[in-house]
Amino acid sequence: MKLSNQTMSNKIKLILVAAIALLGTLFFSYSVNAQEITPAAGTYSYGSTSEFSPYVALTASTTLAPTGADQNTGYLAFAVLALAASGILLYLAKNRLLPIKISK
Amino acid sequence: MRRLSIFGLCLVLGLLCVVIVSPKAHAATIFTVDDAGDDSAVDPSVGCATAGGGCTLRSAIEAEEAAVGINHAIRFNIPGPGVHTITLTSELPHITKRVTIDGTSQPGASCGTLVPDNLPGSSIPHTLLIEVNGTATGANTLTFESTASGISLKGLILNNPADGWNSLFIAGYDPGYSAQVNCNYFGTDSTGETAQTPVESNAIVGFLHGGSIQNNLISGYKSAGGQGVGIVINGDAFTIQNNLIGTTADGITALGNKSGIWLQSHNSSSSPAGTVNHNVISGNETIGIKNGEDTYSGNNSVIIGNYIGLNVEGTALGNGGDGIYSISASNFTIGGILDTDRNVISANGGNGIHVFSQGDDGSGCYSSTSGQIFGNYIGTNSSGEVSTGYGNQASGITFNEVDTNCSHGSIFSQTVGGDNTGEPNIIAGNTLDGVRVYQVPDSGTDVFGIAILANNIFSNGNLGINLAADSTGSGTADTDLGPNVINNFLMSYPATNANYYINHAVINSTAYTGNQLTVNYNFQANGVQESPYDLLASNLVGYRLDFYLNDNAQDGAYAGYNQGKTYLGSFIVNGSETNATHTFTSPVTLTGNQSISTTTTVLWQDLSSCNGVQQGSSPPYSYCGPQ
Repeated sequence: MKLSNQTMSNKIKLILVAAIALLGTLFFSYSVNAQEITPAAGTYSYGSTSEFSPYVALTASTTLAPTGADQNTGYLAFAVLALAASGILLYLAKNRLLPIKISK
Repeated sequence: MRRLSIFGLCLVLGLLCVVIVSPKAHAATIFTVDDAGDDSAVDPSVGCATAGGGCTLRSAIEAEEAAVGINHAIRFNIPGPGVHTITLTSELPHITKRVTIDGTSQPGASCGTLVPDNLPGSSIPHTLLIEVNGTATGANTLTFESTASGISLKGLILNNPADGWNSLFIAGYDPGYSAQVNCNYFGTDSTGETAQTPVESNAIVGFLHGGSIQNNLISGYKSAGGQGVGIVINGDAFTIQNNLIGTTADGITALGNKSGIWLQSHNSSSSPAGTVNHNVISGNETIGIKNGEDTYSGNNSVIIGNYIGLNVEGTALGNGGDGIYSISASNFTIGGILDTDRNVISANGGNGIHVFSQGDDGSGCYSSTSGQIFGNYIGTNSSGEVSTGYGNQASGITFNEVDTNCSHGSIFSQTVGGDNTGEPNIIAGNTLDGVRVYQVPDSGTDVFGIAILANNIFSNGNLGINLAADSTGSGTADTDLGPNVINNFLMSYPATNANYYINHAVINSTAYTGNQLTVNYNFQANGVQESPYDLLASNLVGYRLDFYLNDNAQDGAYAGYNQGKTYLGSFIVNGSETNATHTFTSPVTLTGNQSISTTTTVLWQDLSSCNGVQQGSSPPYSYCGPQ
């Protein structure tokens, strides 16, 4: 069965969306490896300790980062939402459900 | 009536027979010394009377030894005021029975309180009036034999020992042997202000498996050779408590021995510990406390609540060498979580605490494992503050291996500090490093597993923590960057380094609002420790990152580095953190004129699969390495 140009165009768009989603997921998945872990008490022992790192001076801030959580988790949530919204927009556009035209 | 009288007579005779035939119940005998001479008893089996009619210390011991039974007592009532000096002309008989020798029974004598319950404070010297001069004995001044368990010695001044001998020797070889040695002056005159020990000698040497050496002044024993030790005890379950060791009787001025105490554990690592508690050990020429050495291990020793380098009033006095010098000692404890368990170890000429892997003769390597050092002030005044003259002149704590022949695991599994209330040490004001971990460069990973957690480390001259491999020979601390820069600061570790393979996180930025402090950091772990005793990657739990606040942008000798003065907290990560953040609630006011640094500590679990020997009977094993 021969696909129409329109169908091909939509397929390419869908592939692009999927590729973007995959890249985004990979990027943010790497970043969230900073998860803190909480091993059960009494299941481990302490080994060697390093020296002190170089110091960094304190900087006053009016914006406080999330307490006790990995900031990248917030980034990931934002990215997932943005990707989902993009997908919905493209789906609506594909099915001509949007009041404005964003593709031929 | 006649019949009654005969009955009564028989009754009396019968009772007499019972008394005569029954085993004798011997009452303890008191022998009272009333003669400061040194004559022997005419007939010890009948009493202590000498030919002159008096009772001397010598004749009293002879009579006590000849008397039936034990628990006898030797007391004193020598006529005349003041101090009575008994100058021995030969060796006294060895004491083989449980006996109490009580010099405070001399009219006018009394025990003071040399170390007050609350330090810093004031000493109340003893008033002791019976002085025993041992110069001419050619032997130990007093000897307790192994059969004399339970013996008590109180209220004597024992000085001028014979050359090469000891003032008191305790031959308590047998399990359960105990002795009480309380309220005496060793090595001084009656004032406790002047040394009376002109020759090579020690104060108290022996073996104990219980009992206490308490409330004694032990000072002035000096030596050009291997003697001059205040107390040398091999044993277990004994206590050395409330003594002044190396000062005058008022606890203020140095009247040093060559060294203060030498602890030796009895035979095995399973023995209960000897405890050194609440003494003032200061003013000695070399070491305050030596814990173990060579084949005499210092296993299980407990050292708590002492001033080591301060006088009784809390003023810097120092010992000439290390405050505590530990060799071949495992499972030792220095400090505790209670204020009363805290050692203040300051103003000493060497390190505050020196854990060493090599014997004094330089010929052997001895392993030290599972030491706990917590709750101490090291290098500060008695309030935990940095003050001029209180820092130890080397490092606060040094773990030190200097011999390339020493094997893997010379010093390992030691903990400095901890998370629980009272466990952090204050390590500050020392001339070199706060904590120095040194391993002589060679092919082994000999010094590792030194966990340094949640302490307050600041104002030390060099680095807060120095993993050093850039000096050789004597174990003196390094004062230059040397390979330390390469190995540690830049996080590239060769196999030769102490605390092998541990790098720290990199702090990218910080920000605070109120007392909420957020740090942004990267942490890429280098890996796991490898051969010859593999700690496998599967044993790795994660990495604990400790964060610290400091008032200064630079603390110590090196630009760009400070020390962990105020502990903020910690968390555990998996070792591949990029651009990560964590927020702490600061225990102190954040001003913007402060700085942050961090350390990393490895966490292991279930070391049962390692190629070496595990410690403990079940997971989590705390150690993988050689026996």
